[in-house]
Amino acid sequence: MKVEYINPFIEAAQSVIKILCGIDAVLGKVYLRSSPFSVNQVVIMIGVIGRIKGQVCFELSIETAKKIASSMMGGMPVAELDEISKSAVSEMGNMIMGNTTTIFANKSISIDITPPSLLTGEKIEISNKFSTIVVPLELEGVGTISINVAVEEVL
Amino acid sequence: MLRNTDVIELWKESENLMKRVLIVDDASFMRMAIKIILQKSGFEVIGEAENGVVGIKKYQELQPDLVTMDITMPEMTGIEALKEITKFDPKAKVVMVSAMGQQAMVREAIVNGAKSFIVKPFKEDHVVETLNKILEM
Repeated sequence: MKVEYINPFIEAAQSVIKILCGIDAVLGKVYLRSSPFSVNQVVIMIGVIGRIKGQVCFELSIETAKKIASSMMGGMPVAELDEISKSAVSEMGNMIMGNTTTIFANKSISIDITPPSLLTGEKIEISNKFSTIVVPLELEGVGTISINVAVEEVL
Repeated sequence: MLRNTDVIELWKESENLMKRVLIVDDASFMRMAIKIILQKSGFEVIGEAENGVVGIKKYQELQPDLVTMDITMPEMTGIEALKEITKFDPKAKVVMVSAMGQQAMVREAIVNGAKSFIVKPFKEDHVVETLNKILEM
């Protein structure tokens, strides 16, 4: 997996989070995970097809998800991660991935994405065909969003 | 004393109040967010649909003045729904509202009859301005 395939995800996530939450998402240390791996609490899964294919999972805590949903709903307090808040957080994933496809398109790499699926639970185990690159983004006062990118180039 | 131009402005505003909008988006959050923005600006949201198939059905039933249409949706994409709606009503005013703003996508939407393209995340003012512009077309 080339760096040029990871950077668009980071660029799109930082720009979308800035608009939705009004804060900077600071890039943490990127690392590799082998399959299967366990994730916690909230996962948004979006499939990628086209010149690169695979799966992208956004991983965050329930507390972080609630804070993001609240920002997206104009600061309305979110006590429970209910269906509308889940929809808001899923939509953030969709926006980040949509913006990622636009950045790829500008590099003449054509990809498409699936609608998001949101999973919640303790110790969700994910098995992917490819090894996963984890991109942690730190949002001050909100928490961490880890983007798990498991994609391969289609030649 | 009202001048003629004031009367025209008032008339335009009252016209706007009656503009009926259909919102098509798979995310309930997004439908709610668009609905709140439109209602604040004097549009009437007459229907919502969670995918392209339902979108077409509701368009035929309700015959709205405007449609906001997402692209990435289950069952049927917004582009497919746009094609069907334009086939049914060549004068349909459909605005795409999508997170995928690449040129090829915008071009495909416009070629198939979309009147404008709003990229998510959007600014409230931009949505209202775009819809008003289309209504004047």
